[in-house]
Order: sequence, then structure tokens, then C-alpha cells
Amino acid sequence: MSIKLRELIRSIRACKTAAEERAVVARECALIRTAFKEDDNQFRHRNVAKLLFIHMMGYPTHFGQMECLKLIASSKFPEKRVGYLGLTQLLDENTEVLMLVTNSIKNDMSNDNQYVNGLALCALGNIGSNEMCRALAREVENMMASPNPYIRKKAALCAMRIVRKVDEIEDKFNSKIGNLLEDRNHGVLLAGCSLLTALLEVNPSYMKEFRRYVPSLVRALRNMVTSGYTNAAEYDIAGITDPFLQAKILRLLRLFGERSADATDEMNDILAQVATNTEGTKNTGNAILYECVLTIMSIEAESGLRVLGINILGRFLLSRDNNIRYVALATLQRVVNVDQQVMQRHRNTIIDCLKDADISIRKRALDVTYSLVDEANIKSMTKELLNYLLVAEPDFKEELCSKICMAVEKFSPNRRWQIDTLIKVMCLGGNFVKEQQREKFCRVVAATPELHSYTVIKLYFNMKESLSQEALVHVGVWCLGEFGDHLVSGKAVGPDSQPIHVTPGDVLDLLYDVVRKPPTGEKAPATHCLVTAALIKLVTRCPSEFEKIRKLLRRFDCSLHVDLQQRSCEFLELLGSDWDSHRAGILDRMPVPEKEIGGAETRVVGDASIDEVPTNTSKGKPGKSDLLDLNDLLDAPREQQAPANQAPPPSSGGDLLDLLDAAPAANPPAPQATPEGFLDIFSGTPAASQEAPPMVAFEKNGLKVTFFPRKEADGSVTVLARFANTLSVPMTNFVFEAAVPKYVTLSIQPATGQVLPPQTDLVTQTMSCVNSTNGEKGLLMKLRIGYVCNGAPVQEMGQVGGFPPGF
Amino acid sequence: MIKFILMVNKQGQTRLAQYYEFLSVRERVTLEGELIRKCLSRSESQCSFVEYRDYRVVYRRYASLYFIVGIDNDEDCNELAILEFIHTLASYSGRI
Repeated sequence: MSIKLRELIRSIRACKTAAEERAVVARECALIRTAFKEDDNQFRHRNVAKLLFIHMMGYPTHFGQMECLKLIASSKFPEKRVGYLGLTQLLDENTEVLMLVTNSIKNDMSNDNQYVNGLALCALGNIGSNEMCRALAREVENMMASPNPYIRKKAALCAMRIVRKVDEIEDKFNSKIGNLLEDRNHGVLLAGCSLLTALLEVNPSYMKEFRRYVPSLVRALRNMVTSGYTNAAEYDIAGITDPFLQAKILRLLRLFGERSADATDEMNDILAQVATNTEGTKNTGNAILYECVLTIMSIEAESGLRVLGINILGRFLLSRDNNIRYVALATLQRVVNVDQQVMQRHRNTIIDCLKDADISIRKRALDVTYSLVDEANIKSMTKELLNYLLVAEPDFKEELCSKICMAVEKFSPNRRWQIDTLIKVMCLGGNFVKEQQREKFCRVVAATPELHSYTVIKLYFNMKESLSQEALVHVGVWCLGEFGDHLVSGKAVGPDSQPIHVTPGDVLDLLYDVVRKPPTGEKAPATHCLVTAALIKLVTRCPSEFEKIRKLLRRFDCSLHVDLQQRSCEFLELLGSDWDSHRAGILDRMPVPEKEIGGAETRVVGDASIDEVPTNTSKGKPGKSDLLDLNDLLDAPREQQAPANQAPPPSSGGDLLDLLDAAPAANPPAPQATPEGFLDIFSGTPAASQEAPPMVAFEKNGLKVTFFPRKEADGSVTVLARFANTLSVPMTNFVFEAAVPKYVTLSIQPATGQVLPPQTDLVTQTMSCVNSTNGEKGLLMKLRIGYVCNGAPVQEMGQVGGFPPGF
Repeated sequence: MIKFILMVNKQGQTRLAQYYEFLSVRERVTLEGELIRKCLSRSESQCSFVEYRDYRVVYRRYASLYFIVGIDNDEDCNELAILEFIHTLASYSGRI
């Protein structure tokens, strides 16, 4: 006895437990299966309907598939309807059974009843497979021209699927599109727009052909927007006529307007009209405005229209509704490249969004903030970002750290500020700073000799405060190793002009603390490795602590971690007396890695009021002395800031937020030398510059100078000169000078070192030339080189003319 | 493009699910489970848009029923329009 669908639902609902429900369903399935086997015509549609319900509950129902087919073949409408419903729900396009339906669908498409046609079209449009679509494409095409709008609409939607599934069939539908777009019925119009969008997606080359429809689309849109539209009441939602169609047309206009100035011209008026007339009080209006803004931003709009768009976004930002703010932030993220100035106006609002309670909004605000950072506002933006770092969730922190580091790298006005900020980031989020950034930081420090002592002092005192931040500890330990001598030399001067006294013993104690309590327990061996490296370097820098260092190193020589054990054993060996004479050379400062050297370092070192660089450092560079003469370098405004700029002394290092506040709000962004090609090292060489093969410029008496010329995108030539010392003794006080003919302008950067160690070619010097004859007359250079070798001064002259043509 | 529509009650049971691209039953179940947990745990004041895997999800609550719609990511998808669509769907299927 077959029960009705309703009874079934009721009985399932009445079940109290899952087991009971399963029992009911199982019993019903058994009954249905028997009924199918007996080929019971009368209740078949009811059985299939019940099967559908059971399928929705999640039980397996594949035995009903063939029954659906039988129902579809029936001539009664209720049965057909259930049959098609079952077809679309129980089957999907990958089932082979589907092919059997093709003929039925074909017959139904030519049926007189429009609803039957509709059923067939829907079925094909929902789960038609490739073969079915191909077979029935012709029928669908014909139905698109039917006089009945109901059928036209469904046929157009079905055509969408056909176009997507079957290759190379679009041409057939192209001719029909025009009629659809001229239709008065909104349903057909909407379907036509969707079909057009699908066609363009499949084959973008049709864009030109379809552009002629833009005027009719504009007309349709205008009809809807202007009041007095006759059918307005029929399509009205919340006071706006057919918002769905408007949104669809706007999106279509966007596709047409992209990269096409003519199409854009036709659209400008209507876009402006929609943008100004639509009310933004309810979500409906806002949706239309949003679509409009997206379109304006994508097409080749004139600036007035763009400003209108951004103003709308600004209004969205100030709205109280979270959804709208989210949407505004997401769009701003995309348009930020387009118009920087206008964006800056909204900067404060965006920064406020960083502090919003809603995490989605915070995420978006972060993205936009990052895109907004540039040289002018780097300082205040970094302050905000650091504030945010304090309160961010852990999964956020990593991304935030890396973004801050990247921004700082690109835009920091001077070295000192860069190092300061990176140290702050490490103090706040040390466990999330990635390895690469720590390395970069070390490299930056190594490349700025003037700030060595400043950096090491700051790191020392920060580490004394707390050893919990891994990045800080790693970097600090490395710096202590490299530059520990600055720290204990007693010559360092604090910001209050008091000399800072740090004894070697203190340094050792600090390292001992690090060993005892490494910041991250699991990765302690990595920290210990760094500590051992630092210890061995300190042997030369703080000779008084020899024994203590040896004792510390001994701790690790039985370590279970192989790398650590190896290091400590080797270093202990190095402490032996046979190595006394060589130790100084082995443990000398690390040479600055080449990546830094390659670019032109036009970055100013920055205020160095704490920084005292005695001119008799082992690497005195006469070429750089003008950088140290700060009064000449800085212009007036910055001089006044010099006293204000002193961060609170690292010794009181404690309240980091004070550091952040001291980042003076009163600082006008100082006009600084633009950081140029240097940074491209990290982002990859710009494609426009060309490298030329290296050429030997000069070779004599064991000194070889190799030039690596590179043509930049702006026409200048950057030459990297590498000095190789092939002798077995070092060359000191190395000075390299070059002269060029009158039609070339030359600027030379200071060399990376004054000492050429034996058998190395590490020292380089960068020169930049601009040839005013644009390559007509070749580039020529006269060289003068002076150095001291074996105690005897040597002067050499040379000439270089073999530059590649065009340089 | 709309990828799926779900209607879920407050207890987390899926009342209606319509998928517009093929996902196996296991994938569907995981998707529904995680997504429902995410949407139901959000407060009133938070915005209706969530990012989940490679979809953008728009949801709205009507009485004890949540309408959840998943759309394609990284398109010029108008989330506000989808929100409007949900509202229309809900008003024409129920008594709102």
C-alpha cells in the first residue's frame, strides 16, 4: 500500500532517534523498490517524489533513476514534472543513464505546451552533458526565436550552458543575441545579458562584434533609472526598478568598456546618472552603487567620473553598516593603484578600520593600508601598523610582520630609522619574524658601518630587558659577535652624552642567559649555534674573557645536536695556541654580502647623535667622510629635529610604546635622496635594463679590475667595478678614481672597502654614467688607482675603451 | 557565479542544499560542517561576508534560518547584490 508523500514526511518527523528514522526509511525504500519492480504505473510519480525526499535526507537512492526516465516519457504533465525533477536531483551530468533522456527531451521541446517545453529546457540547462548539448543545440536555437517570452527566456538560459559545455558552437547563437537584447520583457533581457556574458567569457574575441549593442543596453538602463517608466511598479524592489537587471547591465557595460575608449564614451552619462540618482539608504541602492563604482573603476573613465566613484566609496567607508564598509575596503584595495592622492584623503578612516571589532574588516583594512604606504607617510603608517601588531591575533602577526618589513625596506627615509623600526618589530613580534627578514636585517646592519655601534648598543639593552623574542635574540647575538668591540670599547656614548659602560663580563653574562633560557625551547639548538659563533668572534673582540668563553664552548662539545657539537669542537680547536696568529684574521668582521654592494647606496645614514664613529676605525673610508658630516648633509628642518629625534636611550629601553610615540608627529617628512635601484635587488632587476658581459678594465702587478656594465631603463649606465687582488699580501688604503670625456657625466659611489685581502675579489665600487650623445660616441674612461702594498705606495694609470656599443 | 546555496537552522542542521558544481558527498558534508560553524558563531554586528577556502560566502539570518550563499572568489562579484538576492529569495519563499 503506497502512502502519500506527506504521510512519509510526517512519519519521519515523528521519529525520535536516528535509528528509528533509518528503520522507517528502510521500510519505505523496500516498498518503493517492490513497486518499481512490479512496474506500477499509477503511483510511480508519488514513489519517485518520496524517493526524492529520502535522497534529500541523505540516503542512497540510485535504484530510482530508471523510473525517472519512465516518468519523463509519460504524457501526463504531473508525471513529467516529477520525472524531470527527479532527473535533475538524482542524476548528475556524469551519469551514463543521462544519454537515454536525450530523445525525450527533444520531443518535449517540440511539444505544444509551453510548460513542458520549459521543463525540458530547464533539465537540459541544469545537467546537460556535452553530447546532449551538442545534439540539442539546434532546437534550443530555434526556441530562442519563439514568440513566447517564457520560452525565449528559458531557451537563452539553456544556451548559456550549451555555450559553456560545447566548444566552437558560439557562432550559432551570436545572431540571436541582438533580438534578445531588444526585448521589452525583463526576464528575456536578463537572460540575454547573461548569455552575452557567457559568450564573452568563452570567447573574448567577440568583444568587438558585440560592442554595437552598447547603445541598446544604455537605453534599457536609462529607461529603468528615469522615473516614469511604465512597468516600474511590476519590477520594483525597495524603490528601485529591477535592481538585478540594472546590476547585470552595469556588469556587462564593464566588460565592454574595459580598454575601449569609444564604448566608454557612450557609457559615461548613464553611469554618472545612475551614480547620482540611486538612493543609498537601503541595501538595494547600495548594491547598485557598488556595481556602478566597480564599472567606473574598470573602464577608461574620465577623471571626473573616477572622482565620483571614489567619493561614493568614501561615503561607504563612513557608513555604519559593517557590510558596506567591508565592500568599500575591498574595492579600495583594487583601485588604490589608480589614484593615490584621492586615497590619501581617506587614510584616517582606513586606519580606524584597523581597530574595528570585526575580523573581516580588519583584514581588508590591513591590505589597503599596506598599499597606501609610501615615502611621505611611512612614519605615521608604521606607527599605526606597529600599534596593530601589539593587539593582532597570532595567525595575523606573521603576515603583519612581513608586510611591515617589506614596507620599511621600500620606503624608509634613512638607515637609522630602518634599523630602529626593524628592531621594534622584532621586539614586538619576534617569534613571527621570518628567517629571511632576519638575514636582511643583518645585511643592512653590516652594510652601514656608521651605525654598527648604535645598533649593537640598542640590541644589547633590548636583549637585557627581555629574552623572549626569538628574532631579537638571534639578531642580537649575531651583532654582539660581530660588533661586540664597539660595545665594550668604552667609547660609545649614550643619548644623554654619558658614556655607556659595558664590560665584557656583562656581555658574556648575557650570552650565558641566552644559553640557559633560549626563547623557543624546541629550536634551542639553532639559538645555541648562533651563540657559539658569537662567542668565538668575541675571543678577538673581548680578549679578557678567553677562559669564560672556552668554558661556555665546552658545554656544547657533547651536545646531541650534531651541528652544535661540530661547531663547538671546531671553535675549541681554534682557541688552541697554534692558531693565535691567525685567529684575528679568521675572526675578522664579515664582509658585506654582495647583494648590498651591487646597488647604489644613496640612502643617507641618518641622525647619528648617539653614533660616534671615530675616524680611526680600522676601515676608515675617506670617501665617506662627507656622510659623517651631518650638518652639511641635513637641511634645516631636520637639524631642529635632531634633538627631538633622539629616541629615549636604549638603556631605558623599557617602554617601547614611548619609542613609538616619540616617532615625532611633528616631523615633516624630510626630503631625502630617493632610494633607487638598490631596492630593486630584492624585487628583481627591472626587465628593461640590460647586462653586458664583464670586461677586464685593468690588470697589473696582481691587481685586476673588472667592469660589469649594465644599461638601465632610463638610458644611464651603471658600472660595477670589482677589484681582485691576486697577490698573497693585502693591499691597503685602496683608492680608485675615474675620469670621463666631456660628453659623459659620471658619479661614483664610495668603495665597499679600502683593504683588498689577498686572493679575493670582494671589494667593489659602483659608478653611474650618463652618455649625452646617446651612444653615438662610445663611452671611454681613464682610471687612476692608488694603494699600499707591502708597505710601499703604488700609483697606476689606465684607460678603458672597450665598452659595448650603444652604452 | 553562485556556487552553492544552503539553508541551515540554528541548531546547525542543513535544511536545504543546492550545489551548482559537482562536489562529492564527503566534500559537501565537510564544507557544510565547517561553514555552518563559522557563520553561526558570528555576532550580529559583524558583517555578512566571510572568506572560506576559495569561495566568498554571503549569509543572512531570518528568524532561526540561515541563508548561506557561496560565490566565486576573485571576481567582480557584487556581494551586496547577492545579499539582495537572498532577501528576495527569502521574502518570496516565506512570510517575511
